[in-house]
Amino acid sequence: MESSHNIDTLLQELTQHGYIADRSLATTLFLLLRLRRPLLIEGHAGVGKTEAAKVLASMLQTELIRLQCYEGLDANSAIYEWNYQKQLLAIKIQDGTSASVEEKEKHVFGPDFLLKRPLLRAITAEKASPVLLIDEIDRADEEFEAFLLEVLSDFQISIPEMQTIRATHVPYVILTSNRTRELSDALKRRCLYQWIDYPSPEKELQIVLTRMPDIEKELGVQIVKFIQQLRTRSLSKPPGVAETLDWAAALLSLGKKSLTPETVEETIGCILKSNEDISKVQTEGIEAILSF
Amino acid sequence: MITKSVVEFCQFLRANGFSIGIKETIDSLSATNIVTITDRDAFKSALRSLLSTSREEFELFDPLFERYWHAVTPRESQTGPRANAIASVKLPEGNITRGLSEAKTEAQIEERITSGASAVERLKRTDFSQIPLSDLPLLEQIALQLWRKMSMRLMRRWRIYGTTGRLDLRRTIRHSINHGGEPLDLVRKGRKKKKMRLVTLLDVSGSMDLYSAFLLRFLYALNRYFKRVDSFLFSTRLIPISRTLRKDQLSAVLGDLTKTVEEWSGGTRIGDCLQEFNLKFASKALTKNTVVIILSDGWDTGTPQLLSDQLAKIKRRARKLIWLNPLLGVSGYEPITRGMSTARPYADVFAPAHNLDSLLALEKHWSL
Repeated sequence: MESSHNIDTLLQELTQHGYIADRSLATTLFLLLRLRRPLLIEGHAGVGKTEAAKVLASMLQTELIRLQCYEGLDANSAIYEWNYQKQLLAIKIQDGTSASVEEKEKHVFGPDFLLKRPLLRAITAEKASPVLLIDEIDRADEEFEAFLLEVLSDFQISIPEMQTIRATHVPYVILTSNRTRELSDALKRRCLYQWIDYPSPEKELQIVLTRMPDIEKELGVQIVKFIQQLRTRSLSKPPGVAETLDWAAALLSLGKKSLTPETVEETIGCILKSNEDISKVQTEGIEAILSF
Repeated sequence: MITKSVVEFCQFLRANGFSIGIKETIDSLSATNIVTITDRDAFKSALRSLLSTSREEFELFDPLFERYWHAVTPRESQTGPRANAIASVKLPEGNITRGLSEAKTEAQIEERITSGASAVERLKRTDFSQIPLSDLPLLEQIALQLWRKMSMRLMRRWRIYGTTGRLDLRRTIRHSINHGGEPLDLVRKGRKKKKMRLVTLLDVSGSMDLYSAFLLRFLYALNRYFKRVDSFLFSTRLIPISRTLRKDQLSAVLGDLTKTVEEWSGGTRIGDCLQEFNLKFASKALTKNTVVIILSDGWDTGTPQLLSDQLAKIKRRARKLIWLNPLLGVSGYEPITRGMSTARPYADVFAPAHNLDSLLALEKHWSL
């Protein structure tokens, strides 16, 4: 568990697991492990926010429990739900038995009939502290956020029909947000905060070379240079690291050795996801951007 | 006495607009047990993730950290920082700014300090025509944020309205036949969701010059956060702009619109424009769930009869007609222009639209 004794070994371990982080993020993750405080990560789309949680879980060799937020996410799909169908059947089966009403009730509201959703699963993890990833919290409603805050302060969930369940192993919590709306102050103050920016060219190249060991370094350099250029243009959806990697994979499988304007033209759909952006880049000229 | 410097640093951040309380201060003290102060870089990152709560604060943190700690080397800090550390830090003079990397971040800091809550409140109340150019970006930022919050509230209200449903026993029983008479699937009687639609018509004639640019941004925000909005500009003729407004970036939208609208700031023929609207668009856009918003000062060079007829047509087909007049915010203004006195009887709501507060106040009229 406490495998990382200091920030630099943690940084190394992250790298070994294929995640190239800067030292600032490593420090924050180190704090997360030590202080057991939730961490809120914000950043542009595709800079590796979700990836951070995944790699943390694999590094700690623990379970990753993911709660994807969306508008209208409610307690039933985030915490728990009773398996009504099974309950009804159980009542039917018990019909002829001599059990008292209390006993019957206790039976159908027992653990066998409880459908655990991510938050409850995170709290009831048996072996070790899991990593709980609450993805895109900004998409959930404010009511859910308020509820989440409660869970994050006590790490307990009360189920009226059973009892209050307290965490046996307090999970490591990572929240991500794309800033489509402001989160509540209370939640933000509860969490550590990390902003992940687009990586520097050197770091991005390192990411490409780590994740795509087969790629020729020269092509990697060209890819990163082009992507970094694109990010300086005012595009509606600038390419993230995820797009860089997608593109590299595409070029690799097409057997390209270097970037030509034609190659870029053919594969531009990997990095630019809106028509306006594509025509904007084409107006400027792919060749011009390549030669920067 | 590292404790003392950390506490003072927290106070320094608070003075620079960070929301830091006792809890945060204690947290950062506990961090000093985990990260040694001699590892300056890690120490900075640790405090930054503990004490900042947004991208803005996150980016503001580094220069502030350098400013406070640059004089205090790790060794010195263990023997205690000088008593006047804070005083000297608060006044950015002489070599204190030496540690700052760029002038830009310095400017951001200053901006942060001056743009406190009171400035926001002031801007919300200022008439659009009176706002100095230098405040425009800030106003725009505040406006987008407020409108976003407003639309979140509205969406939620509608959603809750739409999801209540009682058990539909008839269908529940029918489904239960498959399960030997046990009602395993509970079927709910969903009330039909009422979706509100918006139609916005913005006057861009010369008399509206000082306001139309802001109101256009308002339309942009509405378009962005509501799904069913039909937007139009009008002066001497009607220009549909919904498609343009759907672009992602406001600057692109404004650029496109300036290109399409050649008679921007010309005269007004409200009646004719509304007639065009009624002929071409009303059959699709107007339903019993449509709220129509007209933003205009009512200076009309057409005939009152035409205006009156067309408004009556709109009124018949739409749920509600809201007329927003920026001049209503001007003290002493009476809506007695010919156009306005014609239009007034048809408007369900007649309200000012001269500053942010007045636009935000509209929220209460937007229910069906």
